[in-house]
Amino acid sequence: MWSIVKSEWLKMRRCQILLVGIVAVALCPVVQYGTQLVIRPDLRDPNYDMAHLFANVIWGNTQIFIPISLVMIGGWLIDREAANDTMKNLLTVPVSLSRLLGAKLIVTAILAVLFGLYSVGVTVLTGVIAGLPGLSVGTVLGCGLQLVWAVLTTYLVCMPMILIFGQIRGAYLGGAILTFFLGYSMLFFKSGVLLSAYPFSAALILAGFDMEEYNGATAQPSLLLAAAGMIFVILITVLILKMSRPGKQKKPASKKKTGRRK
Amino acid sequence: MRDYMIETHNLTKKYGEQVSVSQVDIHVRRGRIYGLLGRNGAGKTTTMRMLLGLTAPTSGMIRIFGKNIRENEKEILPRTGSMIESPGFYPNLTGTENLRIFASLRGLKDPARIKNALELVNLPYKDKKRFSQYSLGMKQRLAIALAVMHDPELLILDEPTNGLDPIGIAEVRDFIRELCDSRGKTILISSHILSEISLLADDIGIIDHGRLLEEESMEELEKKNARFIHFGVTNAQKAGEILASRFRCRQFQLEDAGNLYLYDTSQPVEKINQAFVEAGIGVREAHLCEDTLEDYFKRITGGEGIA
Repeated sequence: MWSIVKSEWLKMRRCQILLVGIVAVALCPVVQYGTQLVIRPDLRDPNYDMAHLFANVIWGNTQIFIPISLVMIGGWLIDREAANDTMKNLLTVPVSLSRLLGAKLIVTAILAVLFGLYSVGVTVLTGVIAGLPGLSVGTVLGCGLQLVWAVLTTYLVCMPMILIFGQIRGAYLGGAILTFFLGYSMLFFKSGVLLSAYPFSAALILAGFDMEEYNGATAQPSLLLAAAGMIFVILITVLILKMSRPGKQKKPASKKKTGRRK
Repeated sequence: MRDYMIETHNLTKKYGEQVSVSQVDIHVRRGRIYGLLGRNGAGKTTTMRMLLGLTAPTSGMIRIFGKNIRENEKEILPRTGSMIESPGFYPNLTGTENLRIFASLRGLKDPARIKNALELVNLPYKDKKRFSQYSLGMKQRLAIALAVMHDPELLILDEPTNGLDPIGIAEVRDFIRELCDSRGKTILISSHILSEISLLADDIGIIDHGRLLEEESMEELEKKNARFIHFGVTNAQKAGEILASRFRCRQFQLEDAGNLYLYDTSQPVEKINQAFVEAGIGVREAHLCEDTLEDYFKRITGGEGIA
């Protein structure tokens, strides 16, 4: 498995799609802080500090930026094997499809952690440039750890989408858009089971994030329900991995005639 | 029983109602080059895909190294090198980087394997050119390098000279021949180009509309090829009468007024020639002819020729 993960890592060299994640994650703190600036002055939070910015970024990451980035990149990692016609080379090594997909999920998880760390850096930088108060080692470590953890739990929620849309030719972009809507939808679950069990909400609850300020939750979230929601997502992922088969081969189309015919 | 590296029995592949490969029995002998010859769309690639486990057969049996491919993929595939259809690699990586990925997956730790494979096909090692910038010929060479990098016993190559220039084709042909002769590799190669197969293969299988019409060695094929003597004469009708009356031979055919084909090649050409001249028939030419592989291909497929 290690050799497959290593080869997946090697394949990403010079891949421009990584820019999607880099740009998206960099945009998040800028957009979140920008939102503070554009609202009416009397509605602004006078105590807005580094911890607030971190909280805003955690919410924005899970709701929009991380799902879009990870589903697009993870889906593309799977899709490219069909697009570049490399699947035949892999299957004749032989590498099983489920192990290959598993390796791609592991690489996407590593990317998620790296994006999380990068997001911490960009958030601190944004806070420093904006002159926000409350910058301390404790804040950066505490909030930063929560941010990375939230990115990782958000990644777990995205796994089924990566697998499903990566295996439908050219659908990873559509998958990213759909995941954006699913992430955005956590705004609508303010109480009941879905407040905690809805996977994107569960990702934040498991990261210890207080959503009340952001989605106007009217009840206390349940850690148990959130864990159940996350376990459900992981089970779905395992099921998809087990059920994945190399693409049904269409009848090979007649090749372009390159030889001379008498 | 012969030592077959590849053996199929009643191998069939259907896509819905359409039969792509029908009851194909292939027998590839150890240390030989087997040429699978057929027109585009004849079923060559589908057959090869089934041999490699890339496409599941609808019915029939495949044995490679004497073992069933479906149950022994992990044992068979590492001993096999393949190149199916167009070369598929990662466009953002160089040739060396692409091979490094597959070397890593195959557990090949020695970088010399990659270097040697690239040198075999005349591609530079550690070149900065990315696969997306390669010409079709370079892509094809890289695919061959990938197929041979792990020193497999068996090579399955689907139209390996596609896209190569004439010099490149000759180089690849020599290289494949050398792999078989010097290194004892068994090679199954497909092509729609007759000359390529006739120059390279030891054994030949002719596939048409999904059916394997003929399978034999090139020596057997040469023996079976029709031989005849072609006479170019001024009066073919009269020449035929002489053959029938003086030489008691009826195995001939009048092509037109000036050409006659004599199929009994044991007849004494010099005496026939003399008899024609004595009868006042002018003889322009008299020579032994043999069917080409193309003639043979046309005859057994019952139709048009091939490239």
